[in-house]
Amino acid sequence: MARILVVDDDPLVGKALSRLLRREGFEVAIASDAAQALVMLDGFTPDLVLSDHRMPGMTGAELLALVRRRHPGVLRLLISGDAERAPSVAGDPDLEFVAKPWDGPALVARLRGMLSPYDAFGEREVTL
Amino acid sequence: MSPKPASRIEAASGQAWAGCLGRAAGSNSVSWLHLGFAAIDGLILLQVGLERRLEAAAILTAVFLATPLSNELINRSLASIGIEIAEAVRVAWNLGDALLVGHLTGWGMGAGAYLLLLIVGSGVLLTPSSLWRGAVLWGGTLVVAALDGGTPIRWLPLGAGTAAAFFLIRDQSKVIAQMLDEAVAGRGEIERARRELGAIHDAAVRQEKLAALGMLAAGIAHEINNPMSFVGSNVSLLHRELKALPTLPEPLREWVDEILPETLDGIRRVNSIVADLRRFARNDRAEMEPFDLNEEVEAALRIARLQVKGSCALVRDLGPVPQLLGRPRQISQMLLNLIVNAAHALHGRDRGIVTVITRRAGDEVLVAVRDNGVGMDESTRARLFEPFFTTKPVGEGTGLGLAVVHGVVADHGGRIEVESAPGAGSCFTVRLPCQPTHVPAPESRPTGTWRLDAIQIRAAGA
Repeated sequence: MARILVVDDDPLVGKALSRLLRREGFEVAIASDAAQALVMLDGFTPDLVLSDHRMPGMTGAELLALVRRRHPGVLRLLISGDAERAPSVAGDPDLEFVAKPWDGPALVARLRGMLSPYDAFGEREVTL
Repeated sequence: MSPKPASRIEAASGQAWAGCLGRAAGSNSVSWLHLGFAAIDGLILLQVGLERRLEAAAILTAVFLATPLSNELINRSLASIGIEIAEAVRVAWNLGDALLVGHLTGWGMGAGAYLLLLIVGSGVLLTPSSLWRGAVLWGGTLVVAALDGGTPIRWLPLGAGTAAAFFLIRDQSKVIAQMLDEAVAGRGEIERARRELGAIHDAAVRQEKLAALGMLAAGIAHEINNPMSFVGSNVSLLHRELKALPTLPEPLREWVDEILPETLDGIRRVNSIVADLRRFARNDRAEMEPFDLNEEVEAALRIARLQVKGSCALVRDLGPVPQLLGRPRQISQMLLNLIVNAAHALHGRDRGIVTVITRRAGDEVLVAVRDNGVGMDESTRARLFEPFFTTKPVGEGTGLGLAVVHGVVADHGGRIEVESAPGAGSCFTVRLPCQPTHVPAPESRPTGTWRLDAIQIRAAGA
């Protein structure tokens, strides 16, 4: 089963996301900031990182740009409540984005699409 | 226009008068030497004359009258000036003279003249120029007294021989009339400039207020989005899981059928208000793309038709317009808000019409939404674009429709003009530049970088 790392500085948001995703059969871990997430990337080895954008310290977009460099095989999705698309980060033009508040079934469908074996394989083939 | 004639006339109350009277005794006749000095607002008038010598009197009169000191100036003067045809019997007088009624009685003037002065003093304080002219032609003596009512000074013998002076007066009065006209026109111009300046100031104040509200709105939107995201997620998860249970205890059935769907509807409403607030705060960073304004008008009209449900006629008058660069989804949202607002302004009256007009105007494209509805008063016009300002009953409007319109127009580097008056309908005209000046997408944090010229509001017919 796919493993998803949820990163959000608001614990209630993290818990709600993880609750939703666990019920859909994903294995979920929660990090409360970018630093913690970077540690958990090695321990938890997620297939996908779902990160909030505006957090104290490193922003979600910066974290996911780092993930792209360090863990090219890991999928990334940015989620934010104060924009309608991903903020542009230099050298990371294709960051996927979902708006808060999210629609449960739509978010799950999106994640499934990203994680489907074909896509996941294709992603790995391109980036490795 | 000649430079500022107004100041000379309007400052006529700042003045000084003086005069003296001397007796010159010759071998077989007696002459009176007149010395007069008058200064009104920088104009100095000197007068010297000998009584009983008509020629000299006529020349001096001409000198006196040829100065820019006009009938009008004399009339308005607070110094007392009058023309006597006999001892204390006056046929013409000015404001100052009329004010001196009390002193004049002390001069032993005739009862008839006193009565005349009373009439003038009680009503028409300014003698009409024609009275002066008539008096000069008719004859008499110019009498000048200081305002403190000191000894009156008899200056200028007037009579039939001063006919020449009369013509001079007439000529002079034409000049004065022209000066007065120019002064009035100048004052009108100043008044107009003052009004325009006032309007610009008001618009700037409104802009500042809206910018502050925009920052507040963006901040609130972000802070509400976070909690609403998990509240909504949790409630909808609960609803789905309860619904999926094969059997439910009776009290929970109501939760599944009514309470949770209603709660979710409330959450959706909050979310849509927050989304509107964010649009008002210009926080949408979608890329600009080419779009056809007329197509967006058609799209907005299609949705508007469903919303107004035939309560009024929707008419379109679309002219040829060039392709624009912008965010078409925002544009159609803006148009929809304007159209639905216009439809609401009709309050279900018969023959309500909402007209949408597009035109090219120079290097701008304008789209106007006009209704023949109730119109707006000044106070409503002033607050129109503030978020949460609404004239609709509680629950019928969030007061965000026009705030969103404002945000979208500002985002596209455009302007919006409003013409409206109570009972005369309203017309919102949005002007978008054909070649958009680059409006930089705002940073993720809300800032107060609003365009100052985004709104012009004016009353209908102004």
